Amino acid sequence: MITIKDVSFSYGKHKVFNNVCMELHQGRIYGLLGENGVGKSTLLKILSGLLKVEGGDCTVAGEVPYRRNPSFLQDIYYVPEDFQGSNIQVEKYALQLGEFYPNFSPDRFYNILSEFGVNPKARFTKLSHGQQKKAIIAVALSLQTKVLLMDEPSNGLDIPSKALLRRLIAENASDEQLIIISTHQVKDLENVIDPIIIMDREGILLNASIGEITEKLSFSIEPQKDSGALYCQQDLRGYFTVRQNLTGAETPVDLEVLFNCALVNKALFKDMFTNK
Amino acid sequence: MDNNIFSFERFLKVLKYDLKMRVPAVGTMFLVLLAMPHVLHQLMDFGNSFPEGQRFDIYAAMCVIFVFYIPFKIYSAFRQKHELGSFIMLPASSLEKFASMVSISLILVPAAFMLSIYLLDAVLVLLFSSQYGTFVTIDYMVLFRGAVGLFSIIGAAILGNVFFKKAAPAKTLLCILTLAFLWGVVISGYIYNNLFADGNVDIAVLQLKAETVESITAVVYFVAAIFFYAFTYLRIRKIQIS
Repeated sequence: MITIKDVSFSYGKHKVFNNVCMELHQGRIYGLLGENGVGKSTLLKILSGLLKVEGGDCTVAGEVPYRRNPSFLQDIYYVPEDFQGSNIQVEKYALQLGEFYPNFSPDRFYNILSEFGVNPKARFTKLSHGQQKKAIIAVALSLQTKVLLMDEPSNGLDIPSKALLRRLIAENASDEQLIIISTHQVKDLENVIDPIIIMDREGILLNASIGEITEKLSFSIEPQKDSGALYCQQDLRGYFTVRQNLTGAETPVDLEVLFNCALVNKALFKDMFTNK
Repeated sequence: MDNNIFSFERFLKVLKYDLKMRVPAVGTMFLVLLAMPHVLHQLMDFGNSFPEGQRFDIYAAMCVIFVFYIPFKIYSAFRQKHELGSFIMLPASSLEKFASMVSISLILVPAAFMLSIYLLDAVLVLLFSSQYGTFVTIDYMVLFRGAVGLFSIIGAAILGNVFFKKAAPAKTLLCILTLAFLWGVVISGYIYNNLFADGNVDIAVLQLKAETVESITAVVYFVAAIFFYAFTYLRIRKIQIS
């Protein structure tokens, strides 16, 4: 559904990323991970047509995003990280916007908003940052676009709302949808995102499903540091250790440890997960 | 095959969206400028007559101020990162969004304002005939020239709104004044060298020549405005968010 081929982008002389390649398929919720400034938000803006690629090709559902054809725009919605609504009622905004999206469901909108505890009659400007975020996520999930891009959706949400967000995304995502969630707070969206994409300035370090990751890597907590492991991270419980999976046994993936492991084994990860 | 260039049905949707979601932003200014001539008259010249000619000049000034500010107030999205994203991603073509912007900024809102001025004036004439005297009437020629002037001002304001990120109204006004000054220099040279070079001081001939200059100016303003609208459309098509 999304094809990105040798895409590069710069802000003036500042190169953000170079030769990014990947293919993304519908029916999945991708987690886009990366350090600050590696271009996660820029990539989402390119996919939504807000920015033009500098080099390479990018197509979403067969269309070039930057052409901004209405047939493309009605199939995609982008939730920005720094959403700030204007002085409009949440309900009025959703219903007016929904007229442009063929699959918009007002019932779903009211249900999600009620689960989040946001008053539909409230104006965006009267809501806190977290409440505004909840309102726009309710709008985004109720539009039921083929492609949904969410940039740091858990930022600004309190702890119970983060759990609720995970549930609502899982409940409302359909098999026809492709969702990309960019985040640097991997714990917030653990158990929702699969496959995982890890971005770096030099491109994509990893683009693999949880199944593929556990097939190639094993995760464990050890009492001692293993100098032969790919990565060790100490906390109160011991050493979180990542090794190459040589036995074939499946172990639960810890996304934070995986992410940190990818950053210290860039070449190996590229070789293992992107050079198929 | 989807029509991705212009669909009348989609244009109406955008127009409805803009009318409901954006136009209310200009409401306060609408009411303030509508009431201002009468409030100021009562404050500064209480009880005295407010003749038709004086009212017409003040109404014209209010119209110019109002129409100049319409795009900046209604389409302030161009200066706010998130709202600009929403504008770009609204599922309609650039042409439909541009057509809605022009319909609202050039026709619907100015017409509503002028009609309101006219109706309020009529009501006040009926209620306070001793003070207001007769209804305001407009000469067709004045109306035509005014329409060309407003077409140009709104064109410049629409372009300034999508082009400048900070202090957009002030920068746009500065550009308009600079262009008007440059045109003034050009037309003065033309008048001096061509129209009055023969030393003819016949009033009728001079009036005819003055009207010629006015007509040329109107044509130049009109052509400039066409460029302003064209550049606005191109800007809407190509605008990106950093």
